[in-house]
Amino acid sequence: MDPQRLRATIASAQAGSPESYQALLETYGPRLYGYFYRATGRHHDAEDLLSELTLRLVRRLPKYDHRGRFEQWLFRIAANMVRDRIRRLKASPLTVSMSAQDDSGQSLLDRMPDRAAAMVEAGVLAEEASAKLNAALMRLDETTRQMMLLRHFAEMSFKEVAAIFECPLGTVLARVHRGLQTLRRMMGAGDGTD
Amino acid sequence: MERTERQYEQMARWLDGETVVVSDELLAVAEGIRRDEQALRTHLDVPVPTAAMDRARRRMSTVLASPAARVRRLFVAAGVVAAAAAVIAAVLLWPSAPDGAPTRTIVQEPQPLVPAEVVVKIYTESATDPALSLLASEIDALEAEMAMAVPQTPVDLEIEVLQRDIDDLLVDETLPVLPEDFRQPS
Repeated sequence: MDPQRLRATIASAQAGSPESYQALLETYGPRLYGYFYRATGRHHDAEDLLSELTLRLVRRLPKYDHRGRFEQWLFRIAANMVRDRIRRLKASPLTVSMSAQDDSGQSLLDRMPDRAAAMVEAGVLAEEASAKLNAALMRLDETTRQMMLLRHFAEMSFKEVAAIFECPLGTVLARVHRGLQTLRRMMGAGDGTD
Repeated sequence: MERTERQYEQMARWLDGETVVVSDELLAVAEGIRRDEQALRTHLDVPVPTAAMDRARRRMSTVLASPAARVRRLFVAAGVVAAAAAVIAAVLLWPSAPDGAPTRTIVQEPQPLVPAEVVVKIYTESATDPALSLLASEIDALEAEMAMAVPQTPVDLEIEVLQRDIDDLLVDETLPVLPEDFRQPS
């Protein structure tokens, strides 16, 4: 959404237009979902957080003072929600293995028609790659992970990230740099910086 | 090779697009960081499930269309917060007795913890009233603290899932239609 249209949409939403609120959700919802998913590692939590954020958006937007930094404001709310949610996460996610065999010696994949199984297997492989990245992200400390994710999903500068986390600018880059190196090692990539 | 805080700051400013002078060595490091970030970005995005967006849309529609329903849900879900809000609201909204007036203890019928009109007033007028805005913020903060204070057991998580299902049912605001077989003959 271009800056002018965004400004008009925000003003309209603040005036109470439901369509404008929905327009903001359509524009930022996918990125927010992606951020929530990568931050928590679970689709279940990402869906919950996205739904909860709509409530917070409606509640807080009337008090928002638009100075051209709406995304940063929105993702700051999202980051606080993630922090709260991570503190409450105690149990591991339940997973169903498509390839594990049951007592009869058959797996879920074995029992599916061939074509469906092929589609599911392709989807499973993609999901496994995504899950591998998630697992690598979860191995990072929470602050570093949040900094890296906000850089991408919220398109924040290092300066803006430093303001959110109230830490020196150099510290942010140092953490992001080490995080990238760690991810590269865990994902098995080739040579990189330093 | 370890870098100093100052060197990282220089690279961060350069990566942010500021006009800074960095050595060739730091420039190479900064460019490597940029490449790594770009490589990571190609894998970070995930498609949002249709069901997740639909749920968010429904939630937003309901919140926008029915503020009273939203307030009622908050009241039921945060009984302690509502009780605290009632105390704060009573202090802020009702006039106190004039100075010097004799105090008496009067036995009264028990009052609702939070009269509905007070709670509605808090959330619908908080945008214009600074005191109510502060109150609404305090309620938000108390909710968050409550959510964090209690460690979650598997039973808690089950209850949370059930509560979410209940919320979705309330959002949908539909009732199941009885199939013909179950209708009582007239």
